[in-house]
Amino acid sequence: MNLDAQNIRVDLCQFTKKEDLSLVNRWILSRFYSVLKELNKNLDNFKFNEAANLLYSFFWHEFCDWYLELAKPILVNREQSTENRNTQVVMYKVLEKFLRALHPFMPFITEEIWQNLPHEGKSIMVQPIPHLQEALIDKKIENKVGVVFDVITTIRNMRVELEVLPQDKVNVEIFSGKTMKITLELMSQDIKNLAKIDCLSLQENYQHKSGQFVNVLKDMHIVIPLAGLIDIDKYKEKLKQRIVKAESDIKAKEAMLCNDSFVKRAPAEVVGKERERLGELKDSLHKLKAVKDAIG
Amino acid sequence: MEIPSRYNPKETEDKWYKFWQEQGFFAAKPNPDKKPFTIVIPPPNVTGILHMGHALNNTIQDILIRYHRAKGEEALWMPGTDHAGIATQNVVEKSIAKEGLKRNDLGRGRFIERVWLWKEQYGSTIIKQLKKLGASCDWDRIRFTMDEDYSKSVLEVFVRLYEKGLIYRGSYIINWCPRCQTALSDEEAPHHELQGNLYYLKYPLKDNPDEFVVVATTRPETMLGDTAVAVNPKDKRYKKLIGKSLILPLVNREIKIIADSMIDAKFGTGAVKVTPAHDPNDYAMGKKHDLEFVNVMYPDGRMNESAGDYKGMDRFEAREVILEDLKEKGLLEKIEPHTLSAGHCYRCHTIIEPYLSKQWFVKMAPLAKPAIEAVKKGKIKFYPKRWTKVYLNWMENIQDWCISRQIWWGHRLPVYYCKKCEEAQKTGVIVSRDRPEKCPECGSIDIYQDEDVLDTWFSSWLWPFATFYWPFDGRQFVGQETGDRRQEDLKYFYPTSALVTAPEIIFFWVARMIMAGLEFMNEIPFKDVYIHGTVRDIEGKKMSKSLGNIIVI
Ligand SMILES: [Zn+2]
Ligand SMILES: [Zn+2]
Repeated sequence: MNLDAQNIRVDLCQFTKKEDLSLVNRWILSRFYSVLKELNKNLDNFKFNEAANLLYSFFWHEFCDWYLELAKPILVNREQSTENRNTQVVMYKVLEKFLRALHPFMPFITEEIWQNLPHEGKSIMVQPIPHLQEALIDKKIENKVGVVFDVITTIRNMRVELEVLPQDKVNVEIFSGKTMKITLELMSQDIKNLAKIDCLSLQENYQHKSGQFVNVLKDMHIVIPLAGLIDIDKYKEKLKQRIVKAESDIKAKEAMLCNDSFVKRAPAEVVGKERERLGELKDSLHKLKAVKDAIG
Repeated sequence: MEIPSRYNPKETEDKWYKFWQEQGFFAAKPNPDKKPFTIVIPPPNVTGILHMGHALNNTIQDILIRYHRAKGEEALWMPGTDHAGIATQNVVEKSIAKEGLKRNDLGRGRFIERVWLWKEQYGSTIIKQLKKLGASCDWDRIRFTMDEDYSKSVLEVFVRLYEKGLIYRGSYIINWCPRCQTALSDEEAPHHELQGNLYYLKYPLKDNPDEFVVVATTRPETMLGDTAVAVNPKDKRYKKLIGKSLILPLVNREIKIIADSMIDAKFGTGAVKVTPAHDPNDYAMGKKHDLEFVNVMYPDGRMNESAGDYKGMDRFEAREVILEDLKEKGLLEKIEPHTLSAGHCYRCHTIIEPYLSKQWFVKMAPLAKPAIEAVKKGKIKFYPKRWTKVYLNWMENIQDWCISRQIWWGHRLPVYYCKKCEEAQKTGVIVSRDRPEKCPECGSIDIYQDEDVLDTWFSSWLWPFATFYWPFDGRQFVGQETGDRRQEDLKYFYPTSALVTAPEIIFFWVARMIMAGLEFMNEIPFKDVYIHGTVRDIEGKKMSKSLGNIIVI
């Protein structure tokens, strides 16, 4: 990304008072400071494992998996927008501060990256640990955005179930309560981007119709209309075959695990693996049946 | 910005480490505007090579130091190495063996020169490895437990404790390694189970040689040093025999049957041979009942003149011959297989011999008292908390610490003997910081220094303050400025903040540092003790050189 030099000198305290700062940007700031707070607590109590896992999962599963994915289209497509500038600032600030928090754990690589970022000062080693800005921690935003991510994950899973090709777009209807609807509206472009949605319709009262694939998430109904997307009859047939296959696989596994001579003779490790496999098979059968019910 | 697609750790890490050092980012000095945060490194053995345990230990310390530095504290990580008495001496002995030399061929002075030479050549390996890990120690302060100044601290402590009556010389049953020919502390002689036998020996009664008392033992060769047989006073089988005499076979010494309530009537035959010079429990019993102490072995584990015909035999060879002879005389009743637990030398794994010898000791109970208080009152905290109990338990049952070692590499005891006084049956012991010119008692100049050196831990227990040159500001050697600076350093950085260490050395080191800090600084040495786990391999085995599962960094 091409960061404007002026953007790194922004004072975060002032900057975050801006009305036009998006929910996603507020979310990553809140998450960062929540993590920082927890990190300090862990290190002050000699909980090194917890501290390291915290940093790892924040960077990998929140900053990279979600924030960068959400930011990409903004940085690519809307170059002159306020949102573009805001995202540049927030991304830079969070990354730079995160590196400083991570530095005690990974001194070399954080220095290498930090030196490659626009920065002030000689070395990350002598930068202070980021100052904890409690005011930027907003658990409500964290929860709300967390639910939106669950929605995106659900839609992605539904696409996989329906065997929609990755590049193909789908139409989605989400039925929710009023408050949730407002959040979804605020992030509708993000949802569309990340779940590859053509037309996203947000509504309030769900009523069952046929020819749809429906998943329930909390108090929401997430609906993918099937007409025009897949051949429903063909899909149902396929589903039936998969269920039959799963059932026979389960029977075979169960017979194997009931066989005393196998259980006694095979190494405990092998038996354990087979048991695990049986559990997986049962899970996937359960899912297939749920899909079958959802399509109706 | 341009970031290469593949990270090159070697190039990147060396570049930044050099930069940090050049910039002086690791250096710490007293700053009244900042809170100090100090960690003293557990000094690795100078013979050491970095393994996974070190990597974990030092990574945690570096995390803490960098975190507190970034919090705006004056963070000092004090580095150094330990001279590791027996370990280093063994390494150098192996090295000169390649030239066909033994340490006695060189003599004490030249051997020690070789140790220093070895240290110059190889002693900084582990320090280089720590730097590779990124350790942000203040390297300008690096210390070694055999440094001249550090050695002065060690001798100072010895003299002060002696003058306070907390160091004494005594005969004692110690753990003796006949291979290394040195005393070992209990911690240096860990017990391992091994498959042995319980031998039932028959001792005839003096008044009636056809009647016997049967005793059971796992070390029959020590019977030559028996000076009593003990039974429980309540044991009906032996009640009538108490006070009567037995004839000790093979050496034909008359020994008494004594009563002691410590004897377990259920073990073996209920009658126990008492060998005060070769067993710690028997030693206590010998003291209690005023028995004779008969030492039957030379320091190298061979039988001595008190062993009569068995003189010159190795202890295990003597065992076989003695059993043969007893069998011939019909005095070996039976042999039963028996799992026993025996101490082994932690350096060479030889079975240790409980051995009676003159050693130097520190009286620990008076030192332990305030150290127990400090932890009970929460001035020092253990993380995880469960280690508090382990610490307290050990401290409340603390034994006196045998601090003399019969090796060459280490701090030689500041103890001198006056030959003239010794000959006149006076003690002739002179404890002095410097070599005395003459005997303060009789004025004789015929004085010689004790050959022993101090246990390595007797120097590392001072690590949190001796690294700051306690108690010598040394102005007469280093000048006013340096002297002032050193004093200011100690005042600012002590007590240190946190200690990060492995569980194996809680007793060896952590507990003793707490005692030393309170005794000599009147102040705890650190506030938080973080005990981390032991690194194990994927199968849960401890990692060690001998198992071949270590990772060299
Ligand atoms: Zn040994
Ligand atoms: Zn004298």
